[in-house]
Amino acid sequence: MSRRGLAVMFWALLFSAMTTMAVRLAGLKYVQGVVWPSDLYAFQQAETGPLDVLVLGSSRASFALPPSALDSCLEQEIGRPTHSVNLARTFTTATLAHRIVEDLLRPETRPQLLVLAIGPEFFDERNHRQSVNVASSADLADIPGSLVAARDLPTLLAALRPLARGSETLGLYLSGRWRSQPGLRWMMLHHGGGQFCFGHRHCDANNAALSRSLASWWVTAMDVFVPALERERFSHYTVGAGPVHRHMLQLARWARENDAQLVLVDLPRHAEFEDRLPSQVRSDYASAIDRLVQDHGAIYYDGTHDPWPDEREYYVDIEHLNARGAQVFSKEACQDLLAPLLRARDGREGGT
Amino acid sequence: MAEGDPQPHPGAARLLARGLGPALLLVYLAALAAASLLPARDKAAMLAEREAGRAALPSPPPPALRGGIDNRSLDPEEPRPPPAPTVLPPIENIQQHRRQGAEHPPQPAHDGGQPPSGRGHRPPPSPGEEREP
Repeated sequence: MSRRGLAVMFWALLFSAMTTMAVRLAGLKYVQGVVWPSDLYAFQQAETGPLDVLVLGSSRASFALPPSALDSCLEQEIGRPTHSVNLARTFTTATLAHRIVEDLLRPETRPQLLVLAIGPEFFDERNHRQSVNVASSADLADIPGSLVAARDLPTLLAALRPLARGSETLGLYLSGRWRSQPGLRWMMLHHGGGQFCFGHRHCDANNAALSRSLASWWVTAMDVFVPALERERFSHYTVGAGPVHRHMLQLARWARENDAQLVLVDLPRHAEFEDRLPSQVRSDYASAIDRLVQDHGAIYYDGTHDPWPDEREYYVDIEHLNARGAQVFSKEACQDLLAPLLRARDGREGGT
Repeated sequence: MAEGDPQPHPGAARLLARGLGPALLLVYLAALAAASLLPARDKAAMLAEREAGRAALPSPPPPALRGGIDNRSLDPEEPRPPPAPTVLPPIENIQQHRRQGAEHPPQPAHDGGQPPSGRGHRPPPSPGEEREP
């Protein structure tokens, strides 16, 4: 390649990297191509906090723990208004959860309870969509580490994404892409995010319309995802050492340093999903949870018990709760776990 | 360039080429600076939207990400039987039922009035408290 060609490449990369930095500094990093299931840009711009409960996790989390359901229950249980937010993203692992906390939370929006709404994939170093996590959240400084950790072509390309993401984001922003999901912005601004909301007449219309649009998910899951589930998601399941593990430890440290209680909520999964989990995956997943509980003060709540595995009535598909399931599960989690935790913290702060 | 047109002075061309880079950089930086001001406008608009109250949903919810066959059992209009009660079976049963292969004993109760943590362990409801679906 000629010297001139190399020079052109150098300057293009430099400009691109500078754009990524500028976009980040301008607060536009989370204006991204895929807005669903949470409008993070709306949260970043409009949230003034403080938060009582922050929910992080994958799309399962966005369905299972609607903030309006949590707040309604929590207010009743602890006798004061509460403010919960759900910042779920698709295929979230500890990597993306940590990035979101570092990037989007300010001191004034620090949560009392940092709820990681998890499943086995949350800790998986070989998560089948880890490239999405890296591509959407890694910064320029992460490129060397991401390159070293890359184990396949998608994650290798994702590792380089920060070089180009700024230009892409700027284009998406200037084209108005961030406005393309007004329903999600409405959910974030008025109901704290999530897929469903409750306690307001417009929520009924939202929930009904969303349920109709999701009506095919069960059949699709059974036809398309179930046959490939074990091979696609769990054939290389790895926990406990690697970048996802390091991000999990950093997340636990963030919680400790910011006086936020780390809470792990194991979300309901239908038996059609659960029964396909290899025993080694169950064991490794359980070990990862136990280490967080024992070594990092996390509180664990098992939401996979009866009747969740067998009640299709509560599910959109084999891993996502529907509006009814979300309402019931949120109330359970609120009454059994979140309300006692917040009550204890309120008592502690009132006593000091 | 047509034959006979005045040729640019080589020095001027070089000067122009050298000036083009910094000029482009300035334009680029100015564009970035202008873009960085826009989020403040978005923030004001979103805060106003929130202050205005919980208006009607501005548009239908996001379309399903997967297409397929209609599933009547998930139709909210369809009458459904009442959901199963959420009374939990004993912890031992949960362990046996859900955690085959995990082999993790329940953790001891947590101090300080906080809910306990650990695999399969859930704090009991308060006395007299009944959950409803």
